[in-house]
Order: sequence, then structure tokens, then C-alpha cells
Amino acid sequence: MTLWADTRASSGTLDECIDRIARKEPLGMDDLYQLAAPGVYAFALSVLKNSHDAEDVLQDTFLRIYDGAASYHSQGKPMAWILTITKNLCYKRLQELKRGGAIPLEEWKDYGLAQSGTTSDDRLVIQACMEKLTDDERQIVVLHAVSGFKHREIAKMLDMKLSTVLSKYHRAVKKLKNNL
Amino acid sequence: MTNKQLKKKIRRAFSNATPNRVNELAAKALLSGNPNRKEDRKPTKPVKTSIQFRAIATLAASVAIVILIGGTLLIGNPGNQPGGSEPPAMQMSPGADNPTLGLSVDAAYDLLKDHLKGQEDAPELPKPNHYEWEYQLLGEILVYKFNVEAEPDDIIAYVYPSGEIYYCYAGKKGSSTSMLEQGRFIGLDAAIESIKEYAKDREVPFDFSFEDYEWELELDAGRYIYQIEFHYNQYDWVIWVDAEYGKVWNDLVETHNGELITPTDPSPTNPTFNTEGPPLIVLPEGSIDPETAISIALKDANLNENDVSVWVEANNTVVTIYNVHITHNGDEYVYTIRANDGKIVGFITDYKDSDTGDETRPPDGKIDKDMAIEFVLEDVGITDRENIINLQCEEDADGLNHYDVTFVYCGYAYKVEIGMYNPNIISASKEPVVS
Repeated sequence: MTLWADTRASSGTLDECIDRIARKEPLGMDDLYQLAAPGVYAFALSVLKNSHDAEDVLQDTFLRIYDGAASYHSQGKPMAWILTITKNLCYKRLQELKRGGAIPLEEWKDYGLAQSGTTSDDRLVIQACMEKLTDDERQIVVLHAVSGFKHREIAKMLDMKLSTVLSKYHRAVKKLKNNL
Repeated sequence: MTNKQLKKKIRRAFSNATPNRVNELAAKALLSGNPNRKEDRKPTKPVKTSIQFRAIATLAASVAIVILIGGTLLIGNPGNQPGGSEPPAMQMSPGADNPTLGLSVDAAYDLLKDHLKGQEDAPELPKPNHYEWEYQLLGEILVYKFNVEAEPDDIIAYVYPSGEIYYCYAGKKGSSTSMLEQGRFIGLDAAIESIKEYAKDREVPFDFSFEDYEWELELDAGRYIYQIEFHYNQYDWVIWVDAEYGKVWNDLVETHNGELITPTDPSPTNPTFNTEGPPLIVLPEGSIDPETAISIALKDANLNENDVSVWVEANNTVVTIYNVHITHNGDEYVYTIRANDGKIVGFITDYKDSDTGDETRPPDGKIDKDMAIEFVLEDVGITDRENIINLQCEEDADGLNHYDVTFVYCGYAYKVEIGMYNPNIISASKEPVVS
């Protein structure tokens, strides 16, 4: 599925959508999904490294948003709120997976073959992100490139120093350029 | 491939790969309905259910029956708070009083409307009110940023908690002085005129009329800047124009295959210290001058001004600072230096390619030793650290600052130089250990 080209919606728009969900307005969830789902999915995939689990977390995130929309108080960064939910769900899933034994591996070269909206170029990009980058580098790259967070915001979200985020992003970009 | 192009690819790839689960979500959301949830807002009028939603509701009901028959029913956790770690500090919503800003978004827009009423050449605002808005953090101050489709030109406006308004709109030429006192930026056509003047000095003159361009007003390193993008003669241009004084601030040119063409010498176009126009920055008494700021930066980088390209700009949002830009061997570095005492308060690398949006940061911006070691071991491909002997990491101030990382591993002595600010391997060697 191809979602909106620019998923970096302004904070005002995302707040509006959450407000509409709280008011039970039809299509509020649709609109929020269109805007925020790529960022949520990309981040979940970057953490879990497994598309099935990432899809589950994607769904659970939006269900949590639905449940919590009425008591959500905007502080100007709705995407940060959304991804905090995603991050917590991912970590919970990782713990469950570890308790269960092996964490399932994905064949990234075949990723997205079943989805009609994914081009071969897209598959190469995702394969490079998943196979060539470290966990930190991958998370930083998707937060910056897909969700549009500034590096300072990423540093706060991932509890890293800004210099670390900048360095890792720089290295990740070089790795990706070498592989694409 | 430029960084911008790479970002676009990544964004597109993940967007296309994101599964569409909207219908399933709607069904599950209905199943998880929580009648005991506190509602902060009540709808002001009955909500009409769209046809789409009714269809989903019907489907959801069917699904619920099937699941019930199957004996398993998943219900969302009633009253579950979203997974935020910090409680909200304040209550904010459009239309309500905003304790941080001191005024609601409606009130802020009303201020803007009243302000424009007093301007005889102001564009006509849409009726009824129709605008896009967002919060924007300008330095330490949270403001409203409005984007209004007015006639004949769009308006972008920042409304501060104090009621101060900074706005601009396309098509009107303002005077070059006292813009700040009037709370007004130069018009977009004045910015375009500045670009044409600037282009006369460049090798690629713009001998055409702008008809198709995109523009945005941004706050960048404490300055209000127009960012104007257009295509001309097989090149894609991005030019930044100072919105308060109309001088071209910087430019970026890309060809279609992504090659970047950088200005050979940006200093002649540096608007900050142009003596022809009004002074852009009034330096407080006792400030160091720009040449001193450059010397400080070069000394810290351990470079000679003959080996580098350097230019400097000043801004004074809260305190007056200089940003000294150094280009060396294709890499870019920006030192931020406080004007009152010459202290280096920030440093950033890859300024041109990494759009961090924040050009100053604390001087702990250099990589620490542990991080340098981690990068080196990763690059060399060593994972079994327990077999590493005599691992050392020392600072070396020869040329641009870097670390010397040395260690012995599996019978070889390694020596790796890695940049102190830019984590690139500068050189690496290994020799068998002679026992």
C-alpha cells in the first residue's frame, strides 16, 4: 500500500486527528493512520527486525491511541507521544520473544515481495537498512528519515547524547550510500 | 546520491512497505470500546456515522459474533493510559486557554487578523477563518506558527505569547530598514530581487523571470530565512535569503544526477558584514570581532587559514554568537563562538549535508574515547573483545583533531586514526607482532 508521500505531518494536523478520534469522529483514525503509520511501522521494524511482530505492534499502537485519545494532552509533539507508545510496545514484545527462546529472523531479500506497493528499489533500501546497519543506526535513521525528527529529539527519545546520534547517523548514511 | 535523496528513498520505501490495517483497526477498536473511560471533551453535535464506518461496524459485529462463538474474545485494556513516561505538564487544546502560551490558537489568530487590518496593503484573509497552525519552539520560546492561504498571497506568521507578531507574505516589497520594529519581513518579491542581484555575481546568471518556485519561511540559526527552491537550466537551486534584510545568505545547487556544486568562495556573498547595507547585527560593546572568531576556530581545529575555506556569520537571538564555517578536504565544520568572550560553545560537522536544524550544541560535541574505540573495532571487524590486548585511545592534535587507537589482536599490532568530531577512519595499519 502506498501511503501519503510526505508522512511528516505537522504537529497541528496530528493533534487534530487525535482530537477527532477522541470525539469519535469517523475517519479520524483513518487520517491519523495515513499520517503516522509509516513512522510507527518503520520504527517498530527497526527495533524488532521482524515484519510480523512489527505489524502487530503497529496495530497495538493505534489501538492504544484510540483508547488514550480522550485523555491525551497535546504538548506540541504528538508524534513523539505516538512513538513512545510504539517503543514501549516493542520492548515488551522483545522481552516476550526472548522469554520464548529464539527471536525469529527475517529473509530481508524477500521482504515485501507479497506487497503490491513495494518496488524492488524499496526492497533494496529496506534490506540495506536491516542488514547493514547496527540497531542504533537503524533506529536513528528511520526516526530521522521517516518520521522527520531532528537529531536532538532523537537523542532524547533514545536516551543518547546528541553527538552520539549525529555520529551514528553519519556512519549509517555512509554505509547505506555504499550499499545502494 | 545526496543525503536528501537518500532520506527520500528511505521514507518512500518504508511508507510503501507499511501495511494497510485501517479496517481491521476500526473493527478491533469497536470491540475494545470502554464505556467507563473519562471523556475530557463531549461532542458539540451528534456525530454522523459515515457509510464507510457503518459498513465496518456491521463487519465488526459479525466478527464479534464469530469470535464469541469460537470462545475467545480480545478486549483492549479499559482505562489503559498510553505508554508515555511523563504525565502531561499542562492542558492544551485549540480553543482552550493555553497556560504556557497565555493565549489560545483562536486568540492568537485574532491578534494576527487585527494586526493585518491596520496594514493597507495586507492580503485578504479567508472567511470564515481557515488556517493551518503548529507549535514551534523558537529558542526557548514556544510560539504559534500560522500558514494562511490569503488573497492574493499566502501568509506565514509567528505569534509570540507576548502578542508580538512576525509575519510575511508574498508579493510586497518592504523597506530595507526597520523591518524588525514593524514586526514585518520583506516581501517575497524583494527576496527574489535579492537573488537576481546575487546571481549577477555568480557564473550562472539568472536571466529569466521566476514563475515556478517554492518558498518557505524558516527560523534558521536564529535568523528568519526565506528558503526558495527552483529549477533553472538543468540545475536545481535552493537559495536562502535573509528575510529581515533581504541579503542572500547561502545557496545550494544540484544537478539532476545529484552532483553537488558548492560555491567556490562564499565569503563575498556573506551578507553579515556587507558594509553597503545597514548593519545586520549590532555587536554589544566588548565583543570580539569576526576575524578574532575565525582565529579561535582555526586554532582549535589546528588549521592554517591558507589550507581552508572559511566564512563567518553572526546572530543574536539571546546572546551574540559567531558561526565560523570551515571547509577542509571536502568536510565542513561549524564552530559557534560567543562574541562577548570568544568561548567555543558549539561545534558541528557535515553541516552542509546533515539537516539537524540546530546549528549550535554544547562543546561535548566531539566523540568520546569509548565511542571512538567502538567505531574502530566495528570497522576493523573485531567482535571478540576478550582477545584484544593493550587497547589504548589517545588524542592527537596533528592536523584536524583525531584519536589514535592502538591494540594487539591475534598476533597483530593495529594502529587506527579516527576523526575526533567526524567518525571517519583516517588511516589504519596492522603489523605482525615480533615476539
